[in-house]
Amino acid sequence: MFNTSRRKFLNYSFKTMAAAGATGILGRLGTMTAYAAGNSNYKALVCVFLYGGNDGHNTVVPIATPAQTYTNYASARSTLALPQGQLWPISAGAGGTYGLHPKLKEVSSLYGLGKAAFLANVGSLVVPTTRPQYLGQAVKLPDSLFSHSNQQNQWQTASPHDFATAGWGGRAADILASINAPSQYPMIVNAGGGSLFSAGVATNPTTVKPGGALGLNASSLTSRSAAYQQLLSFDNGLQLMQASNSITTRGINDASLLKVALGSAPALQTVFPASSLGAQMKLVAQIISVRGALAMNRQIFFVSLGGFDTHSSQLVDQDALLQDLSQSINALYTSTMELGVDQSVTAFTNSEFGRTLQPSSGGGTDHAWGSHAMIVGGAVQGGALYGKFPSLVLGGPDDANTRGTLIPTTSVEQYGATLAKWFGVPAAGVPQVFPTVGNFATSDLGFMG
Amino acid sequence: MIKQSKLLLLTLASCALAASAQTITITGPTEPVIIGTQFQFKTTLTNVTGPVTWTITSGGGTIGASTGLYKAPATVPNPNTVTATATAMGVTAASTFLLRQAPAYIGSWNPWAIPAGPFSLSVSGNNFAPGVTVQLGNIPVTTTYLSQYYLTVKGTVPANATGQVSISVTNPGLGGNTYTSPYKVPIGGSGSGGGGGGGGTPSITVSPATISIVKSTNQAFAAQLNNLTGAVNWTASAGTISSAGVFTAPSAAATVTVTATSATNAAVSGKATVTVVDSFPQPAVTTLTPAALPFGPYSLSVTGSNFTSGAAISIGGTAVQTTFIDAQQLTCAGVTLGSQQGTAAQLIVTNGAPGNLVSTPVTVAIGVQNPQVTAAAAMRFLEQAGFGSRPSDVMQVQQLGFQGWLAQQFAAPAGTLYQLPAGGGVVPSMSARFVTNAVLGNNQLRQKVAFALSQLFVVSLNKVFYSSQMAPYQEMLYSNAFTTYPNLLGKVTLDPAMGIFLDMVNNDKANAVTGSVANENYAREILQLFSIGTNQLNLDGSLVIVGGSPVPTYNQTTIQNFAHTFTGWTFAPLPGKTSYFPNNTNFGAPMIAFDAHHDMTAKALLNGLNLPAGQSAVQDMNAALANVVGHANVAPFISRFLIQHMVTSNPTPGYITNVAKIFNDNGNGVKGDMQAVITAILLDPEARAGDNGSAQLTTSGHLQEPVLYLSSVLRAVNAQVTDANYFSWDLSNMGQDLFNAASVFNYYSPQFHVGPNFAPEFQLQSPWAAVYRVNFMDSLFGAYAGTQATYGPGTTVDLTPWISLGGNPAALVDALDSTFTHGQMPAVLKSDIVTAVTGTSQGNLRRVQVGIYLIVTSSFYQVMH
Repeated sequence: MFNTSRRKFLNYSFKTMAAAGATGILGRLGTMTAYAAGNSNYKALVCVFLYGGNDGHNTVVPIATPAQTYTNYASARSTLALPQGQLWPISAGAGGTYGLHPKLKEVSSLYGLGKAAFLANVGSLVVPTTRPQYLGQAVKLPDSLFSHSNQQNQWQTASPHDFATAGWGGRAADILASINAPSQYPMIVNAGGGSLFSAGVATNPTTVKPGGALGLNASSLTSRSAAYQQLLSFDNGLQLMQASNSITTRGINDASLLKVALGSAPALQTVFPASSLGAQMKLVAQIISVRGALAMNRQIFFVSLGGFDTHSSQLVDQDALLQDLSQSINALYTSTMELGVDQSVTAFTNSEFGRTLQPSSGGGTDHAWGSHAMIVGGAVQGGALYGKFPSLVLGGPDDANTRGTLIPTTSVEQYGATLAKWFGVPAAGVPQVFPTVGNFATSDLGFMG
Repeated sequence: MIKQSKLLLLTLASCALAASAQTITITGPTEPVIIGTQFQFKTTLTNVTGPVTWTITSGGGTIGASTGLYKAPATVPNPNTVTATATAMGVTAASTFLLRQAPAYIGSWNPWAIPAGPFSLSVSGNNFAPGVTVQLGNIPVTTTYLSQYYLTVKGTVPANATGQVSISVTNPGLGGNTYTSPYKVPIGGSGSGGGGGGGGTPSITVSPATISIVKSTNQAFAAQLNNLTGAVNWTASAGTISSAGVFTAPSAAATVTVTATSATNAAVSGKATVTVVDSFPQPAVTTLTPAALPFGPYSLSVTGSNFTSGAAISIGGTAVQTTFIDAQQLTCAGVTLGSQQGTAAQLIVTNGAPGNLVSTPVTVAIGVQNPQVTAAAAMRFLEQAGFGSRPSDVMQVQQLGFQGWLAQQFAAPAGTLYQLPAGGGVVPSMSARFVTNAVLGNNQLRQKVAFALSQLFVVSLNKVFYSSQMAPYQEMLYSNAFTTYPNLLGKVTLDPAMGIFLDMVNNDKANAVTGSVANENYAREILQLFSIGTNQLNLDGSLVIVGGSPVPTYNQTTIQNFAHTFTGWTFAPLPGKTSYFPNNTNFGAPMIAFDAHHDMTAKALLNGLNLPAGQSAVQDMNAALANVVGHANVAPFISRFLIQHMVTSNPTPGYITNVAKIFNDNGNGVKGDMQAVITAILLDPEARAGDNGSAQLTTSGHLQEPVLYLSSVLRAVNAQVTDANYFSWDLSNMGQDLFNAASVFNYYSPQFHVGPNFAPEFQLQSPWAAVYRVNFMDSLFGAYAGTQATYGPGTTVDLTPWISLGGNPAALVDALDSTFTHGQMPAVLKSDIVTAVTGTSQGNLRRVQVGIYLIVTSSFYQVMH
């Protein structure tokens, strides 16, 4: 009963939103052109990192697919199974019907509009790996599986080994740096805290926080300001002092460029959630809105949401997190429509690992491996599920052990390379950014067309 | 040559023959000599034949050896006494006199008359010096020095005041003078009254109107005739006065009235009052409190006698900020430098007018005499061992030496950190209290180690929500900080706050009905973060590499076995309650075991240890903790972590090895003896390299994490802090929301890199946070209008001790270098900062603020090294 009414509402909302969207785009066309002047080639990637390891099993649930049904899921998931009637059904075409988490309402709408896609069971891998290969240690495996810090770094660096020192966002920016010349503003902006993802070999990201640019306090004392500049060039050979000076110098320069640019920012009509992630997304939209003033052709943003390490009380905790994610990513998409760059901005989720299908004592789940990711934007070939959806049988063919620890069927490198190609990294540059992508069948999963 | 010899013989002979005394009488200055001017000495020789040779035997200035023409120096030296000596035929005579500033005097002012109410008076004249004050009758005024020639005076004339008030100007400091204008300022009413207007009542004004002089000395008076012409006749009630108005005081103390009477109208006269004294008061110092000057900023009380309101104290030749309390007491504030510790200096009081007399010097000791270590080394040590170098602690370290201080810290009672007095519960803001404790607490080492441990065994307010739940956990780390690592690991494991945070509390064995199995959260993090890490380590902290790859310390099966081991624990029952699984939340006692909920199957742990089936929860727990503690990784893993938090981000393999060896065996076969480990960390040659400017590795040091940065700055300037302090928000913005780390991975990771180096704290130092730090210091030190001010409630920083150095930028920066950077600031930094301070024209306070801002925001300061 409840289920039926939900479905009706969903279909209805798809149609009305599509209609409204079309009118809106036409109506705002003139304004959009003005904003986009000077960088018609503009593209931006927005990495949305879900810290802690998002439980993919309750993000995308099989309802009726050629391989399995809701019942397979419910029996393995036990006390943590989401009721089928609360899920938002989505169609994977010949792949069958899946259901999205009850709090992914906005994302389900974007999926219906063809602006959101899911990538199933992606994770850190050295080479394609099967359960027998894993159990027999017949292939190389990523370092330190199931560890938060190591797997975060591996996702962000697109390397299955510990101790990589540059992220794939940073390495992509290294290759594309000249496209933004002569702008001095960094290509990569951390709005969700520092990340290895954003650090290149030559590229240094900047950091922003809600509230606008943070410049050095103005001082009427010119002698003080002059001496401060001198002090930033102090070098007695101690390397950590050099690092400190370099970071502070960048902070001052980046802030002064952004401050000037934000002076010309249009007022955004899009309403963002009053959450940390919502504020980060709003800041991203504001900076995109002054891409012309900053003379940017390419930008990479990093935002984040923490709290996904749901070892206990998962049903309550994940509800709040996914609602925030759904509303915030939808607001970002809406703002790109408003700014006329919906075809140019792609947001995508990362999370260090999925979680065990089998519950743990305390109403939560433990660290696992593969999980499902979402990609949102006007350029996304949405309304489709990419990759290979895994078997949800404990100890089954996709389980690394007996707890529903999914062995990924798509690698982080493949996922990143598909995005990087759309972003403009040339074919020859892809192996530079993703050195081990050649271990896999393809470096383009197709979700970006 | 021969002729001269003969002459000498002749004069010697006549000397010998003379029965009466041979004397030289000098005619010297009768009043202080003004700087930059000249004075011609003369002599009268009795039974002595010239030539006379002149020398300056003490004090400043030069004198022509044969001419006796004295040229005073350009500035007033301290002390400002000069002795000139004349010598002829081996007979000498000396003349001692004072130097003084060019005398300030008042020419005119505008408006001439001041009506009732607030006023601003422009005063013109000459030789005004910075710090000059104007006295306007007894109306309270504030004086603003504008230039040598101009002042502004502000105040309020009371509503019902009328008549005239005297106006005087006083230059400060040694050799300063007070000048009283012969004219008075009409006040109140319509502003009319005496003064220079024509057509009014005839009058005579004598100046100076009041003066104090020594008996038998001279003083010139002048008469100003108002609405009157002609000469005046001078009379004096005692002593004598010449027709030109030069008064000669009587030979005994008296109060004398000098009168000028109009020669043309005997009814009109003016008077002056002269206080004749036996001598001007000679200041004398009897007691100093404290008896010796401490290291760093100080406030000193000087008691004695005959101090005057213009009295100024100098120590070691440097003028210090002096406050006149009364004739028996002065106070002063200043700073002693690291380089002065263990020395002594001469303290002198110089009275202002009248007389400018100088006290006999007294010796004051500075700092710890015969110290074990230098102040510079003690400061550096305290930055590593505590939350920065508070001057009193520097002295303690100098007195006790490194090892003595460590012994004292180990032995000191712990007390509590977050408890309110008896029954009051826990402080409302642990973050605010943390800052108070860090800045003021004496248990610096225990606090520092406990804070490091809280970043090793992380529990965050994001899951343990309340201070009442977090405080007992932090207290546990604090009170156990000097025990052993095995004890700490055991306490942490059974702590209810950790139980909540990493889900070990109520962790149940597998349940076939619900399909749930043992929770792996604590099992994983105790191994990955609290003890051994993910890969096998050599004793020196480096990775064990086999076949080109690191060797994992455990796998997923190990984690699941530890998870089984850690089942069956719940909260302790609340007092008087029956115990169940699970019990209600209780943060007051360690968790307890229920074997019915414990997984009794066999478990395979680290290093091939197999726990047999059927063991109780407690048996399994003890065996598992011993298994973890026994792993070879623990010593290098924990040693490196603690070194990074206390000394350097990049310890060499040798340094880690030294500490790890002590970790494994304190010499008595005990593993993880925290006191031995801490001692090894702090006394290692690699930690001490850099003391007193000695060479250190280019990879050494570490960025001060936000709370350490804050506490170091506050401790260096002796700041006062209460729990009302305001810093939680700033710390959060700088990346360190205290006790609220994002996850069990702490505020920052020990593995974080910048370039090739480990740089854990840099994980917080985004470009944004780096700018925030600079602006934070600007707010902390830059926004004060007064010398003592607050940064929000609860924080007081008093910059008074540095203020009197503002006139000498090089000396000021030397003092700040000693305060913040061990007195080891490189010349290039110093020169940049001196230039900036010199270019700051808004007064001495602003100069101090600029100097501090530039030092504490520099990478040289932020990266503790």
